[in-house]
Amino acid sequence: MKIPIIATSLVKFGDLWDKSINDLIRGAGKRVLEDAGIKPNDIDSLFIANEFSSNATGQSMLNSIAFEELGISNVVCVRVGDASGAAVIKEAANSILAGQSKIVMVLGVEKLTDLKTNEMLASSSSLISQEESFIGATVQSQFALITRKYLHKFKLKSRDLSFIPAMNHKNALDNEYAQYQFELSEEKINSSPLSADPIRMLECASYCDGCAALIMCDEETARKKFANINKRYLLASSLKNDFLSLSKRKSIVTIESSMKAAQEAYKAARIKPGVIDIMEIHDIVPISEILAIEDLGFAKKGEGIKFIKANYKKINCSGGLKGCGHAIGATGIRQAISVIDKLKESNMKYGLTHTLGGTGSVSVVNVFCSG
Amino acid sequence: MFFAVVNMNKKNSPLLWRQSKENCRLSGSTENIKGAVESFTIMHNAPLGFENQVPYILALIALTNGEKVTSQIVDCKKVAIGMNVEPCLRRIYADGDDGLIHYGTKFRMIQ
Repeated sequence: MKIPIIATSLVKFGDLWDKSINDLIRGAGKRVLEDAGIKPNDIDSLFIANEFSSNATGQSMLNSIAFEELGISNVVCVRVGDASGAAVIKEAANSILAGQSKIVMVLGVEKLTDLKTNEMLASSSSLISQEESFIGATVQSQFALITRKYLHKFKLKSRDLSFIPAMNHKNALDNEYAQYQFELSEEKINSSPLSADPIRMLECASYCDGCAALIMCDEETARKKFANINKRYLLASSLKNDFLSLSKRKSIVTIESSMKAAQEAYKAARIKPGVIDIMEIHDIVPISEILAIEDLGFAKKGEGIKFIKANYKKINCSGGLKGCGHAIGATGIRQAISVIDKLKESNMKYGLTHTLGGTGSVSVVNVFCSG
Repeated sequence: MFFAVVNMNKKNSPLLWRQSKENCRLSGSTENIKGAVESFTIMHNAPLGFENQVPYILALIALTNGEKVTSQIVDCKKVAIGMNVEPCLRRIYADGDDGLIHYGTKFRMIQ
């Protein structure tokens, strides 16, 4: 599989008080059409990624909203938790490979800041299992359980993890689309209040509003119609599931869905993890980045921290979820755009995005290349 | 503007009735089930419905029958990995609007 990506567009993530979900869809959608130099009629299908629109804005049926705002018919809305954005890229690729569509737009959108913090926490509890949320658990608490187990198993202190958010904030400095374009020191992170012990407030990525879109097409159309456009390619896309409850998983310090998705993606792309030049990892909390690095095959169990320290220039150059903000449905596509942009401005060959849903009940790994 | 903010924890009676067997299963067991704490967290940032309980302890518990559960640990100030616990029937939370009181299994330290 080698699917050309011909255009991208990003709305700066953040607390976008003055923008509705319609504004976001219109903004990113129109800009990506302009970028590709095509009309709405040229798009054969549009895949929208969104998770919480019905809870947070009282509006589901985003497919119809997209028709109203952009004039594109044949729209579906896909919901795969935090991984929605990454999953629609796979769906769009499938549609092209099946010959159903020639030019496909994918658009991830999320409007969350109309919710209060505790309402947001309650809504995000739908990303974990009902038995867990019934007892007062949240996504954060489940990651805290994983963190404690990891720290205990590899004899680490919680302070050993706080360099990860600090590093991601530093990377966000150069990214004009990031919500938090400022440095955050490790001392400041370590003195922030505990959220779910041992995870501190400033270690968690925050939920925000945002929208991201890109356009893909089949190789023939790319040759005929978009010969002059500077393209990058989707090489492999893999999605795998795991148990929703932590209690049903064999081990909580391994995210099996990530491991399986990565293996499948490497096989499809015919590459080894060693050749990846740049990656965007799901760093909703520090532990998710460490586990991902280990499960994606970059480091052995327990050595993720060492690898991240040595390769911080390769990982989350955009600032990751921590620096850019986490607009749930848009995040997977934002990660893809960050990797594509980086591949365009350098002579790097392979890029990878890794997106988790909930606490790892679903993982998506997408591999991109520059030619 | 219409905002459909849904409290995910809020449950109607048939749903609660359907889930009650599972929620209280361990507290009513005659098998004398016990467990050990595998991992734990202390919650300071609670979701809707649990605000008045903070800080509360959540733990992943490995039971003697081979199962694992995520549950709260009560009646104890200090918790550690490996601590032995037993199930007990407790109130999970009271629903403000429809007055339902939700019961389920929490765990306590074995003295």
